[in-house]
Amino acid sequence: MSYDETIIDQAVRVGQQARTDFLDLRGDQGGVVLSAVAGAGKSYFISETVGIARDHEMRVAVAAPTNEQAFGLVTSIAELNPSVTVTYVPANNVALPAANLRANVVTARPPRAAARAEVVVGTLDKLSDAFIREDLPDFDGLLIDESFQADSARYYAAAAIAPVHLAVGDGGQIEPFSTVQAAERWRGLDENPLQTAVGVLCRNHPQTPVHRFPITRRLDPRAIPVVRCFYAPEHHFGAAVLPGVRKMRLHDAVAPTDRLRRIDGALDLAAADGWTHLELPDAAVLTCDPDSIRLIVECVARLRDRAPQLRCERNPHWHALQPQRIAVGVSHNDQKDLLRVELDQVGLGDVVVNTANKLQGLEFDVVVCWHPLAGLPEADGFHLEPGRAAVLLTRHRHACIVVGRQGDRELVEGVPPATPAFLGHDPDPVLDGWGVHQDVFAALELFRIAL
Amino acid sequence: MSVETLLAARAHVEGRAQRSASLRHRRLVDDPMAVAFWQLGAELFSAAAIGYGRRPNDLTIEVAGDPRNRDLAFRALMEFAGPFIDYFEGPAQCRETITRRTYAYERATSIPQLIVANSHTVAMIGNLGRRLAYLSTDGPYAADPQLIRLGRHPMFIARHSLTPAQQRIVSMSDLTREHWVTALSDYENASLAALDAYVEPPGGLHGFHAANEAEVDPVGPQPEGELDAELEPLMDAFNAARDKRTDPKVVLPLLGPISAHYTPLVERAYELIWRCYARERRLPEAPSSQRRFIADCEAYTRHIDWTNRIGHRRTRQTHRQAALSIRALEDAQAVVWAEEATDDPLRMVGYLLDGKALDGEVVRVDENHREIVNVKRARRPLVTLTCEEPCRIPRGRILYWSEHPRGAGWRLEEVVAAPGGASTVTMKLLTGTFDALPCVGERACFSVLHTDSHYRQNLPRDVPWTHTPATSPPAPQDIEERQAA
Repeated sequence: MSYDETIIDQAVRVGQQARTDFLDLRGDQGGVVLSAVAGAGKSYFISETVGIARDHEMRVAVAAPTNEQAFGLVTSIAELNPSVTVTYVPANNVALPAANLRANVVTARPPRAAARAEVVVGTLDKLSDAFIREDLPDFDGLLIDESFQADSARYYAAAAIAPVHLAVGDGGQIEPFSTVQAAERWRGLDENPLQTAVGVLCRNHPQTPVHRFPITRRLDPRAIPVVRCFYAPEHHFGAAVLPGVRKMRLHDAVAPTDRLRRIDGALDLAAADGWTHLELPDAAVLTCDPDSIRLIVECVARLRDRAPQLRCERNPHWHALQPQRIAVGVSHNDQKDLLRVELDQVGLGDVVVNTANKLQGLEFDVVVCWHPLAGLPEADGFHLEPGRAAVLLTRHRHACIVVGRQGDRELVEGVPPATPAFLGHDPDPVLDGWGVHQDVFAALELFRIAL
Repeated sequence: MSVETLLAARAHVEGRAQRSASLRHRRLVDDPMAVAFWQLGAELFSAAAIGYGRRPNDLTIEVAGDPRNRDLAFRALMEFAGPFIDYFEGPAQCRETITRRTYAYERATSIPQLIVANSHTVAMIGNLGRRLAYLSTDGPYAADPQLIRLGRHPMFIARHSLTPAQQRIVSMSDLTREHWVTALSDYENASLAALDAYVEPPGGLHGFHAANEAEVDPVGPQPEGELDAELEPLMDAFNAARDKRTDPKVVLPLLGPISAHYTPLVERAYELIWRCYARERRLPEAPSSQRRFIADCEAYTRHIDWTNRIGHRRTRQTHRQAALSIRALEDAQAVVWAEEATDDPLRMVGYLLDGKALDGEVVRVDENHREIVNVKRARRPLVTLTCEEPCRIPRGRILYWSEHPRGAGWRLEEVVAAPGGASTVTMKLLTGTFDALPCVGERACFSVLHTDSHYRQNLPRDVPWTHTPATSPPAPQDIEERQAA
């Protein structure tokens, strides 16, 4: 037995209720929200809902904020509903990757080719643009994936596509943000374009049913105590997979140096307990700290050298960990670029490196996370944003190795700094992040290794 | 950014600020108006003292007496309103006609430019405008229409100040920080006096010590230290002497002690503003300032025309306006970053260090390189550079030639490590039509920055149901009636 049937039953009931609420709204106007934690099976739920909506002869539009998320939805919907033709509506300079193409997928180029389609998939921007240009007609239902990542402005553009909405997403991920300081002008106000799609829907329509998926299929029970820090206490959830089902084993290897022995210790701990918090000595460093880059590359290279093998509920036989199932998660593009070059140079070109923004919605077996606060002289709103850490610490199925510095914990010790107050509903990333990071550091205490 | 860290360390070692830009990235007009405000610590929507002038030695100071009193605050503002409105509306008289295909419109050829000490002053100007622009011109508390006109301009100025690199109002501390790097903290850098002292430390002092001495004297608009405590007995005496009267004949003769309190404070701020203005003006102006200046002229012309025809402005934006505004601001910011770095090699250094740009000598140009694009062969020129540094940009990344930042992208095709840490990089132009290519023997810089216009969101005119409250909020009640009830 691999699964916790109780949690799965609860999740099925919640999903069914959300879907029923959505289908019952047909002919009316309104929305339904399904909030889920990382790896809850949101895409599967959406794909299943598309099939059932088609059984009810509803024409549906499915949207997500980014191209990569839309690609994933196209594949998932097409695979789960082979009798449904999925019409992908791309932007001019975007093409569906060959790996995402299925027999029942067509691409609508130009978008008006999708005028009679029954299921269309695209980014929020593309679908709304095509709809406003009258290339696309009205649909019966609009399903939005990653709707906590979609901002109010994008939702405004897409909302008229259908009178009935199902907004699915992970409330713990990165909130919409802006590159301009002037965005603070709207904070707390009804018209704030940076509030989430779910936020603006619930603010204007407080009667909107909000369902909470009580499950994570990606994370296993060892991950839950740390990951729980990122979610509201009232959002109860558990792992679908039972303890001990997922295992990772590493071959023994001779470590000629003390540093390598410690790295081996960190890898062994991650393999056994699912977590390691590896700390370099305290120092205030540059964004692209060379020591952190070196350590991350060493960790990944050593992991490869120790020929890791996995088994899990999907594949109960021991099998090799593939390099493309390893990811390194960072906060800045320049960190990503430097790591990319360094990993390529040691033959780890297949290992994925990306920023938290781009890793949202993706899943790996092992993740090495460059902690957002690592080596900062001062904690600021960008790095404290709890969603960033949440994404980085919830991408893994087997193990997560968090790389930081010993001074990082001190950054969030004591009373948080004074931040400007804004009238109205306004979550403060600094205050939220301060508390969340304290809790995460405390939860990682058992897995800490000093380098 | 790492280059700032390097410059901050050098500033500390050399004892004076280091330039982070070799050009001036804002236009400073010939005839700006310098404005310095002071306010009471607890009254953010009134001016206790106003200093203004169009020349360094031409300062006019107005003092309200007690700005908590509406009549007294407005009296001082009325004195300021005349010269300010004359200055602000003057450039709108001189216009040129711009023709865009079949559409022609008029645009002022210049703008009025306010130069102030810091961003707190910009915020205060916005607060003042917000207070004055919506005053009623009838009823028992009718305000002079001149005050309302005065309010509408500062409201526009404060809103326009959110536009990246606008030049309508220039905060000297922000401008100086954009052009110089010191070893001061952000908090210390916010003091124009400290910043100025670090940039030009007097008498061989180390910049840190000069800043330490200079920052003791604030430049407003908010009082620091014991300033309000020193003012309190003066104001008490003033209020006792005027005995609730606000008639200028009574009040003006009583203002002496309060004027004496504020005059040195205003003079100091005013002198600092002009000093920084003169220093920054000595630098050559970046070419792209002209584009932003035209954008400023257009926004200014629209504002003046609207003020003359209608004048009313919303206090809050609609969802649609806010959504369009934030995208426009983000686009503008991206273009400004790109313009500044492609104009100014010193600004590009940060991008080179961060692995967002590469720079090298062009060693080969294959203008007629062809390859299969979709289904037919097409020209895709190749340019090979020798870079002195290792290239840390991954293959496949799209970059833009800094000489043509509006042009098509170039894909980083190949990186070959060369001896001594150098690298040979081949870039491929992603179009077959082009105006120019880098030449062999010249240096070329490619970066992630481009100044082409970005995606513009298309938004429906009708507000969707999701953005409309299910139940309307209660109608606002008159504040006077509510208090009476």
